[in-house]
Amino acid sequence: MEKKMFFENHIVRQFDEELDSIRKGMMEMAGKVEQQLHNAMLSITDADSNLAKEVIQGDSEIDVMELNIDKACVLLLAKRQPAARDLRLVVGITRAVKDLERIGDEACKIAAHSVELAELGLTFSAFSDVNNLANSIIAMLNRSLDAFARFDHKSARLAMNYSSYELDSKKIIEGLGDYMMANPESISEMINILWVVRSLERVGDHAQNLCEQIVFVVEGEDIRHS
Amino acid sequence: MSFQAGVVTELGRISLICFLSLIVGWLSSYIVESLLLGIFLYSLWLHTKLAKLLSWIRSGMLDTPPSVNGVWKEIYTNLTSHKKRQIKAIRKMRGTVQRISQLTHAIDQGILVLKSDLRLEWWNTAARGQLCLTSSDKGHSLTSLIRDPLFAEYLNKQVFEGEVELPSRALPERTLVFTASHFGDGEIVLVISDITQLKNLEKLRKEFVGNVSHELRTPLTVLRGYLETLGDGIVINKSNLHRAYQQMSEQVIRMQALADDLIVLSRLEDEPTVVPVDKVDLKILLEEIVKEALIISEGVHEITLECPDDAYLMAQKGDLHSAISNIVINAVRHNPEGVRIVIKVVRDEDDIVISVRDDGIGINANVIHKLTERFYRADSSRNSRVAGTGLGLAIVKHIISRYGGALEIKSKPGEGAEFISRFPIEIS
Repeated sequence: MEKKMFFENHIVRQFDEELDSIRKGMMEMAGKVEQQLHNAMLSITDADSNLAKEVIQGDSEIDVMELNIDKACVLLLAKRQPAARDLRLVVGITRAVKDLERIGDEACKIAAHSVELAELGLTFSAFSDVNNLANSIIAMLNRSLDAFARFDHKSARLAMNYSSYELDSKKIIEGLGDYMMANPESISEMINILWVVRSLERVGDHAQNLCEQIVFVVEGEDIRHS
Repeated sequence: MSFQAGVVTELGRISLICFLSLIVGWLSSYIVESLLLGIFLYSLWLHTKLAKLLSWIRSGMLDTPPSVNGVWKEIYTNLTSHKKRQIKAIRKMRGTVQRISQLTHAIDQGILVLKSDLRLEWWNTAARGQLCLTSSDKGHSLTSLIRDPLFAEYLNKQVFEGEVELPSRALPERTLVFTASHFGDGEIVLVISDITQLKNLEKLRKEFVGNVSHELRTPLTVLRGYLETLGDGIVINKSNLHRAYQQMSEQVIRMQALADDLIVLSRLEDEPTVVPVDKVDLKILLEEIVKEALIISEGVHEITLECPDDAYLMAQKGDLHSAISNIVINAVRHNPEGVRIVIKVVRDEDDIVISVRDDGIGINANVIHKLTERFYRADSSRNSRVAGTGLGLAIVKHIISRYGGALEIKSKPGEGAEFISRFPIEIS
């Protein structure tokens, strides 16, 4: 009897460890993604095309991380057949990793525009608005990842409802349009900024998806598209 | 009452019972039976005493002990005093623990205790504020809350070297420094200090020095230009102005050198690592430096060079030149006539060593460590014959450390000095 108990415990512990290492891997990936996004925005404000190129090169590292985590998830599903919350966690992680990878891609795109902007020169006077938007989106991403680390579905719901990035980006894009009409010579610069704003908006969407995944993992309720 | 006295009372009690039962036995002629009855009664009495003692111990030994005598009283008093001592010790210990915990919460440095797998175990108030922790974070992995790749890399190494600097989570404009060390049973203690002020000050200083020296350059160039024009014309002939003119020119040149050195220093500080490097032939470089030094020395010093033919360093030639020539020219300037200066290049196991040794006046031991400070000048008189900015060795030190090397200075007054620059063998 005692032997059997010990055996069961042993299996469970190993399972926990595997699940934990997947979570850890995802958080590591999230850290890298956050850094990429931060550096991409920094490279625009500092007109530092070297940093931007670093961001572009760093993307492959994130891709490798995504593949590894995905593989570990599939292996865990096959080997342990988790149920209930554990299953939701594994599924949630595979979805979250996809979102993280996309955010990494967006950071990469921002960096590519940053290289072009460094050549064109930044003249747009309202760029601080873009920066503010980026900061609020980075903060939202940060909050949603914190919620993931803590399994805190309440703060995930809060982070989701609280943000107003869609409105802000709309306003910025309107401003860009006005500026373009007044200064047609800066159109190529404005187009780059436009793409940056677009990318930031996408990052915001992915951060929202992350929040939805936490709610799914903890509460078991799928709140996508609702 | 001592323990022996207690035992004696108890023995008296036993002999009294024996005596009584013997008398009863003798009277009733059932000696054995009455003795057995006596012993039985005695053990019954012992048993009730023991039961009382046990229940008293179970109740925590805090109630007043029942009034007894003999060995029983001894047992009760011993146990009571022991208990009192224990309570006192526990109280003291509790007080100490409480004080220590209050102390750790009062410290404005953040302190975290992590388990070996980086799960949060305990933290103080300052750490909670700095890292935005909540009380439910216990047991969560710290690297999933602080996700900076640098931080994870630092903690995952398990052998902690140095520290790691990160922006604060609460306020991104503040900079925190994390220092980890092992303690206890595989646990990790992490100390967090806020170095924002230091950072800002350092930045301010760098910017200030860089800007001021740049701003000084232009007026100095103008001054120098006019002074030179004046020198060609009228002033120089009027003997009473000659001295003033000469002083002015000298000081302007000195100030220009100072501004240039400051700009070099701030450039070195801004780029802590060097990217493009070329292969520098040390022999050619050092021969050049010797030539220049001989010109400054005007032939009064003897300079010899010992360098193997195949000594190379991967470095920026300008950097290396200014570092070594600064040392050699110092040796020329600060030493009297006839001093021998030996420049030697040696390759040992880990380093390429360039040493510059002289047998001149030497340096006091208590100022050697100050030599590489900015604006420190070894000769006490400011208006000495030796012209210098006081920045030379600071520049030398910066350059050498940029290549991962180190500058070592050995000297005794009257026995000359030796300046040893070590460059890691990897860049040879």
